[in-house]
Amino acid sequence: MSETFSGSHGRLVVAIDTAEEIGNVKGFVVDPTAKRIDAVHVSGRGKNAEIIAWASIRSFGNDAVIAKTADAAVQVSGDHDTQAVKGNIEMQGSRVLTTTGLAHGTVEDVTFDAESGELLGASTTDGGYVEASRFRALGSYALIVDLE
Amino acid sequence: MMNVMRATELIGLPVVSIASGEDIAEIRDVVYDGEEHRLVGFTLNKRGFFTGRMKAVLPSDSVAGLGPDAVMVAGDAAVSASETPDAMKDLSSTTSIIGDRVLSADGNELGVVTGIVLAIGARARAVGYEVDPTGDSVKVFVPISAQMAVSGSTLILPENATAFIRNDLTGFGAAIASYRDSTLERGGNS
Repeated sequence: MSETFSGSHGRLVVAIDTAEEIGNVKGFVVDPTAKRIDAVHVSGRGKNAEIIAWASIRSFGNDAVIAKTADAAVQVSGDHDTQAVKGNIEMQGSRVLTTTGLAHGTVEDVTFDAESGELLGASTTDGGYVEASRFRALGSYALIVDLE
Repeated sequence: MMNVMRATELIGLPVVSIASGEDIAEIRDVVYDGEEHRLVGFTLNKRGFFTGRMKAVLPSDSVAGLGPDAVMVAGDAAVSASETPDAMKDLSSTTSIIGDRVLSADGNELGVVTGIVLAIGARARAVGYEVDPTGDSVKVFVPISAQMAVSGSTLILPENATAFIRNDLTGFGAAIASYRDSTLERGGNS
C-alpha cells in the first residue's frame, strides 16, 4: 500500500513486545540511490534524535507504526543520518534539479510503499511528479533527478 | 529546436554535483576563446557565507549539464586546481570576442559583438553571438560557424549564415538547429 511522508507524519509508534508508545513519526532517513527508506525518526531532536531502522519495523500501519521491540529506537549516529534528522538533507522541501541544470520547484511530498519501505516518487511544487527511478542523489542543495 | 541562453546569465549560478546533490562552487566568469569560437570553461567563486575566488576552475569538457538554474558536474573531481587546461592557465592571453566588429560576406556591417550565446544541454558549447547594430536599437543574434573568418577585431559572417540571423533568443534557438542541420559543419558533431 502506498503512503506519503506528510500523511504519515505524527503517527504513533508502538512496540509490539511491551505495547509501549515509543514516539511519533517525525521524519524519514532516506537512501535516494537505493530508492528506499533507511530509518524513521521517532523522537528527540538533533544529536539526541532517536530513529528506528526500517528493518526493525514490523508494520507501518494506517493508524500506528508497530516496532518489533521497545529497544528498536536508537540514538542517531553517523553523519548521513544526523544530517537527515537535523533537516539539512531532507527530501521533503528539497529543491529539485535535473542532471541538465533545470529546476523543477521543490519536493512537496514523497510517496512510498508501506510494506517494503521502497520510495515510489516525489510530487513537486511545480505540479509535476518524479518517479523514484529518476532519483540520482540527495544533498543539502538539491534532489538530483534524471530527465524524463 | 535548441534551447539557448546568454553566457552572462550563467554568472552566479551554482555548480552542483550530480553524485552528491551538493553545491560545490559558483560561476564567477566565462572563459572564451574568440579566435577558435570556443567556450573554454569557467572561473569559480566559493559558495556560501565566505565567498571569494576559488583557485580551481571548471573546464567546459567537465560540464555534465548546462541549464538555466545550475551548471551540473559528475562529481567533486570536475572542479580541481591540479588539472587546469592550458587555455585557462593564463587568462590574460585569451582573446575576447566582445567588442569585435561583425561584417557580412557582402560587406555590410552588422554591428559589434556584445555577448555570447550558449546551448542548453549536456555539453557546454557556444552557438552564437549577440550583435549590437551600429545606429540601430534592435540587437540581433548571429550563428557561430566554423567558416567564420576572424582577423584582429573583425569577424566575417559566412554567406550561408545570413539567413539564420534572428532578433529574439527563442527564434534564434530554432534557427541555430536548422542552420547546423543545413551545414553539417565540424564533422556533423553539432
